[in-house]
Amino acid sequence: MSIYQGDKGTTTVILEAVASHDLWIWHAFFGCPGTLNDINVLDRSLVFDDVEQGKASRVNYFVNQRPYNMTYYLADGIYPSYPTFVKSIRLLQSEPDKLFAKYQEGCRKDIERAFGVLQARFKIIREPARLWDTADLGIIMRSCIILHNMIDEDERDTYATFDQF
Amino acid sequence: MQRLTNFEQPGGSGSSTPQPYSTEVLPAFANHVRARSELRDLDVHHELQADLVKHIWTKFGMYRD
Repeated sequence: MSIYQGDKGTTTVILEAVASHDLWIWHAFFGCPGTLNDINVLDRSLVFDDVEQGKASRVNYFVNQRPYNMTYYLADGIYPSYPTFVKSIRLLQSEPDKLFAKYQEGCRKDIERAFGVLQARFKIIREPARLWDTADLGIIMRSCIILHNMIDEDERDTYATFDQF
Repeated sequence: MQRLTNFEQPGGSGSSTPQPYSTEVLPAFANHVRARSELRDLDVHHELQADLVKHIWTKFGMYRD
């Protein structure tokens, strides 16, 4: 999960998104002015509403012989320390910490790749917005994401993927 | 004093019987609060991270360069 933002110093609109390794975009939340920080975006986002209402599907799994029942997102360091976010480690103290940070950051690059591909595919979201109405921008962004996922569904078999975990 | 009586319910004599109310927490709301706090549990976050560090280390530690 991450955010996309334009150049600093300009007016921006934030896009919060969840993407997987095959570049499929599972969730996108668009429209907060760039002045909001990521925590504010998260509070306004719908990504947790299902979980909070007890609707989200639970997954049971073991890590290091300990049971867990909530899925988690790989997030960047600015996200809060919730069980549903796994962030990289900032102050690396040991070799295992360093290795973990390397893998976490490597996998989290998927979202940056997804944004990169999305922008490469659609000129309209690569350039500064031509419209002023955030609702219109939201419709453009949503359409591009839907088209992106349709292309992705069509082509994902041709991508090189690695299942290592 | 005279003015206050203007705010009484029509048919005034019933004002002494209180409306029924409950101080119990609604089950739906209690569930919501529980789910919400479960979702923000700092200890679980750190436990999960520590376990993932160990998992990655035991699985890939020997391959590192």
